[in-house]
Amino acid sequence: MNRAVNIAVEDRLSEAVLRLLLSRAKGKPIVSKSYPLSKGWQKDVGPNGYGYIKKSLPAFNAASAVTPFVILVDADNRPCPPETIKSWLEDEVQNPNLVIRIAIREVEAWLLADRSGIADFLAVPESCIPLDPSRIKDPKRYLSRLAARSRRREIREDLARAPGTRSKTGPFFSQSLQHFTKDLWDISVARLHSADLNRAILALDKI
Amino acid sequence: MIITRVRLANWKNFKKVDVNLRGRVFVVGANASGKSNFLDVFRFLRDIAKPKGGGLQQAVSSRGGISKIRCLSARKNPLVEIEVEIGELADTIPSFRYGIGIRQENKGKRRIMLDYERVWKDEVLILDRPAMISEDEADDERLTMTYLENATTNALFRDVADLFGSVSYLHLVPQLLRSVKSAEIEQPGEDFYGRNFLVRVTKTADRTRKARLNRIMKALENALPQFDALKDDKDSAGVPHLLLRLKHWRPDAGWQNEEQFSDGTIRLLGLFWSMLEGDTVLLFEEPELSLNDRIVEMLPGLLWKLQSSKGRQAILTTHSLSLLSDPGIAAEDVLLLENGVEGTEIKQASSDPEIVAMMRAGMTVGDAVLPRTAPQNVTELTL
Repeated sequence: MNRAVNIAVEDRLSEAVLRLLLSRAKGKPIVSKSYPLSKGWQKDVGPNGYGYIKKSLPAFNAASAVTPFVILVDADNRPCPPETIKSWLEDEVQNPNLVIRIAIREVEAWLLADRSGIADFLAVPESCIPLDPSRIKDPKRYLSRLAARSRRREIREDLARAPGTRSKTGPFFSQSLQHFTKDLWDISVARLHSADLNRAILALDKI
Repeated sequence: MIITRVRLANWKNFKKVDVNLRGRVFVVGANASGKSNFLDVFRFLRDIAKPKGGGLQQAVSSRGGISKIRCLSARKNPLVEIEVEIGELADTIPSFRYGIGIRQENKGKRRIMLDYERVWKDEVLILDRPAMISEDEADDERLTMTYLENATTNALFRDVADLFGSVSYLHLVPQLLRSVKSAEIEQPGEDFYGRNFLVRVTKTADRTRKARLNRIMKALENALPQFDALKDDKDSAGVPHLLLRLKHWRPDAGWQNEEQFSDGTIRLLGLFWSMLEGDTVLLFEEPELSLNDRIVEMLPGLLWKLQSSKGRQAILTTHSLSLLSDPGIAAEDVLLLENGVEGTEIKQASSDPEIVAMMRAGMTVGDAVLPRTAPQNVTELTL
């Protein structure tokens, strides 16, 4: 019987990434529930999902005594991930069933780590993608700008910000990359170019 | 083609409006700020231009006369003016511009009259009534009708008439749809509150209907966890029904008809159907109602695909943070209605420096805009 786990993520793309990683993990754990329901829950804790996870971490820690929790967050520009997590848990002891994985900067960097895969998908030359994507300061913006140079019109229109408009990404950015994650992302290649992704895969194998 | 700009004067609760529209338009504002009144501009144009039962007089009288249309804060008997630009893409030179001014005679028969009707093609004035048309001067009865509503007179700007005539409006009210009688209420003209939604489904040609229902089925498989199958049928009295089968719904898997559907199922079906139907301007009144947040947050992406691949324009009103939390929604896509001294004002969220600054710092448009639409003294709301 495969083990059931709950997951908590910052956005839908992280959810797609985590679900894929879990489906490839050794124990093939089954995702039972995904938190939060939607961005609508997070209105009191700021513009992105970070506040939600931070606020809920003690609750997830307690609940992981019942069902294991796997949490994926972006480090963004925070210095030392383990220290950050310790402070979020306040004085509580981390339950061994609570697995927290952190993507250096953003989870988009893990997608960029499958260099040829993402280059094919975006229809851009592979040479545009750095050998070590974890060094990219703002992977979301980087991806969106790469998409603007795509040979395919659909990619440009879906993923890149329309010229002269104010939004962080294109109108179909998240959905489009979720599709890439599910169907095209090659994690066996990506883990070679991303140390933190590799560590995450190894950790998930232990569940 | 899409509507790229709207200018209004004295329309309902708007004294003056001049906004640009893009392929997706999210209209936000406090309760009673006039979101539906804004959508009504497009329905009004549709009512003038639609091939069956259309016309200026009908469009005005079905709204309860000109006193229900013109702005309250305007002075006595003002001119109601509507001008829209139509183009292939947002932010480009429009292919057409269409404008009318309407007023009521203040004596005699008190007819609803055109003060003017003007059409520009590629920015060249091709029609200017009554100035350009000598018959209009001689016979002012002609000014009770627009050139837009007549196939002979709109030949030079048929694209405009076609676009207006096929604007569709969706505000499905599940309670009305469920009532069997509703199918018998044949409303001339529009499908207000989706009463005729089912009739529309069954009147669609067989192959098209099957193809659409198939696509909807695929989408429903992901949206409704227990979904099994969907089909349409007519009962012995010829009344159309949609039938849905859920897994786990009795072991012998009975079909439920729309009377038994949940509100959310009905609204999803209506949404998906109207997205697949036609190829023009779609108006949605709060599409988030009755739907799970998880589905609501996917709607902007769905609408984008509809717009980018099929060229359809979607204009919707919303209060939903989930819907507006999509980081792909540009500030230019959002129209914010705010109460001014004289009537409601409309602006693109991108024209507000505070909103732009917050979005530049990483906030989604929903977080940046929606607090402005919340009632400020809601803590004092008691009964």
